[in-house]
Amino acid sequence: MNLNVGAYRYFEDVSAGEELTPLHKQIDLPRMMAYGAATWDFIRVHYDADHVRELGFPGPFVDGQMLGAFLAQHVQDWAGPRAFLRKLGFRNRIMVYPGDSLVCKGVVAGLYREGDDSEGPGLAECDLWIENQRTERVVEPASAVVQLPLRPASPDPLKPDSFRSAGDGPNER
Amino acid sequence: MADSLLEQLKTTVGRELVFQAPDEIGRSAFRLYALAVGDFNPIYSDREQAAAQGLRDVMAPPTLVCDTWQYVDSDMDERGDLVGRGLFKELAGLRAGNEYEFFQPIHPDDVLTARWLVKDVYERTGRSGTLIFQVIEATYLNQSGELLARNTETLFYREEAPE
Repeated sequence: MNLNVGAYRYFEDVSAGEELTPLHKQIDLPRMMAYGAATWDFIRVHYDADHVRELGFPGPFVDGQMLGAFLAQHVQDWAGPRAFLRKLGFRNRIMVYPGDSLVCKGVVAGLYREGDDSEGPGLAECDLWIENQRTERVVEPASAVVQLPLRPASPDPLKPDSFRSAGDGPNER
Repeated sequence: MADSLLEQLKTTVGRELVFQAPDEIGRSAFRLYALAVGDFNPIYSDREQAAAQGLRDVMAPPTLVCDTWQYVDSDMDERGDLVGRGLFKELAGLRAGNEYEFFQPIHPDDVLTARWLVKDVYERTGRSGTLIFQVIEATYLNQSGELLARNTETLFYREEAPE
C-alpha cells in the first residue's frame, strides 16, 4: 500500500471547540478475527457464535479495546503524522456486533502548553465518543491528550519534539 | 459457605504478573494490527515515511502495546486463552473501560516486559443492580527498562443472585 501521511496540524492553528474529522468504521467478523490474531487474543467470545450464545450473548462481540484503536486512529488522522498521542481513555457502554456501523466523533476541549510553561510542548485535549447506526453512544465518555507540532518560527530554531532528536523539523528537510 | 465473588476478587488485590517477551515485537506485528483496525497510516509500516517524520523506524500503532498478549510465551487452553496470562476471571469480567498513557514511540526492535498489577476491587450499586469493579494496571517497558506505556483497565463482574 502506498498512502500519504496526511497534513501536519500545528498547535497554533487549533482552537477549542474545533471538531475532529469523523472516522467511519464498518464492523465485520473477518476484521474482528484479524484483531484477535493481531493481539494474540484467541478467546471464543469474539468469533465463536455457538459458544457466545451459550453464555447468553446474541453473537460474537467486538473486543472493547478495538474501539480504543479506532479512537487512536481518529485522533492521529486528525492531528497528523508529527503528532504524538499521550493519553487515551474510554468507557465501553454498549456492545458492538458484526454489521454495526460506527462513527468516531470528537471536539477539542482545551489547549495548553505542558507544565503551564509557555515554552512547553503544545497539547490538545479532546473529548471523544463513538456512535452506532442507531446514534447510540457505544463508547462514552472518552478523551485524548495529543501533542501537536509547533509551527516553525523563523528565524528561531525549531524546538524539537520531546521524543524525537533535535534538528529533524519539517523546515529542515 | 463459599466466599462471595466480592471476597474472591478482593483476594486478587496486590497480585502481580510479570511477562518478559521472548523476542522483539517486530514490524509485521504493526502491519497486522493496522490491517485489523483498518488504519493504514504509513508511519506504522513504511520506514522511509516514518523517517521523514523524524522517527528512527516505523512505530507501533499506539494502542497495540496495551492490547497485545504477544509477550506471553505459552500455549492456549480449550477456551483459546493463553495459559498463564490471567490475573482474573476473564470470561466473567467484562470491560468497563481503559485509560492508556503513551510515553514514547514503540519500534520493531523493542523487547517488551509487561507488569500486570491488580490495584483495586470495589462494589457499586446502581440502576442495573450491584456490580463489582476490578482495576488492573499494566506497565510496559523495553529491554533498556524505558517506560513505554501504561494501561489502567477496569473490569466489572455481576454478583451472583442470592439463593
